[in-house]
Amino acid sequence: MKNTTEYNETFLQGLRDGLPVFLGYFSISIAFGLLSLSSGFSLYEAILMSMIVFAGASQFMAVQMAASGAGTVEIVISTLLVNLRHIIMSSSIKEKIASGPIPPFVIAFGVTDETFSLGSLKKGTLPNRYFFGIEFVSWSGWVLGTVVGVLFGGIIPPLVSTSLGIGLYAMFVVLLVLGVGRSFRALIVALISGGINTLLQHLGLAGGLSIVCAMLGGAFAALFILKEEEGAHE
Amino acid sequence: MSEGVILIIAMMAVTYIPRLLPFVFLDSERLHPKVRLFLRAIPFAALGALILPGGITAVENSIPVSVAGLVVAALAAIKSRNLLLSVFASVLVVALLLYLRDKGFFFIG
Repeated sequence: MKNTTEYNETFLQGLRDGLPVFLGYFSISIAFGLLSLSSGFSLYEAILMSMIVFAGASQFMAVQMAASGAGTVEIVISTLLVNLRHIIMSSSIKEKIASGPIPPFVIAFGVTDETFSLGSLKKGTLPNRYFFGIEFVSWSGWVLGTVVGVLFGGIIPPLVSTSLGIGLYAMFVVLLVLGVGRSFRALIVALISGGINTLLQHLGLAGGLSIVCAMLGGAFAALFILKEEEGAHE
Repeated sequence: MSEGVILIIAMMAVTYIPRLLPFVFLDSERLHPKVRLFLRAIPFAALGALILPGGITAVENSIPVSVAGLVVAALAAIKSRNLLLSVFASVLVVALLLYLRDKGFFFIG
């Protein structure tokens, strides 16, 4: 029977390992905060959205749609389409997370591209509280950045906010490099998926849909490319 | 309840339910090996799709600077194997390139 100190350490370790996501989210959500204000949302609505939706791409899309006059139904349908990929991510990472004190309905809330990527590529089973730590610190960054964005966004120098735009993509690249390791085949899978996504978007497919198709296409191709032991470890 | 709050709650529902369903309904023990390999390949496929083509235009108005940022991230990752350091290096290089560009040092923008 594990003692409380060990549990707390695991959670703290998750908080620490999730810091890169905190930073990336913090920068991007500042931009979200600003954008939502200029699209006609109130301070509280912007913060509420970040707190309970917690999905960057769809949030940006929603405020931009609202600004161009789209109706609630259209925005909700688009949000659903863009966020369908979370089914795949939850299915994938669910196997890796050990059962524990944090209930599934809580763990599920924090599955995002970034927490998923970070968690998936860590070797071995993830302790329940550890992954929750990653999710919690990520969520905190997202919400705090939104708060800063709606309150202070106007005074951040453009050079700073533009440079930070690379942050999240840099994180994806690093995760991919570290996760691929020496497996050239895993890199090929990523390139195939990136290629499919680029092609589909070039053909005019909406971002949310193209990402889902690319992920599925790449993973399917992986069945013929990867050897059994090369997938992200459980 | 304002129209905005209704929208936000609806967005939450359509975002949270896809995240939750697999945790509630999927029994991973009985999955076919090929299905498991498929699911374990998803992280690589996801990262590939997330990086391309989005990362190429991550920095507004400059594809070359964005690509430079991604390349620096990759090289830093290979060298340091450290996530935070590599991301920081990438942001720093991008900031530097943008600063030089805006000061007129070169026309890569």
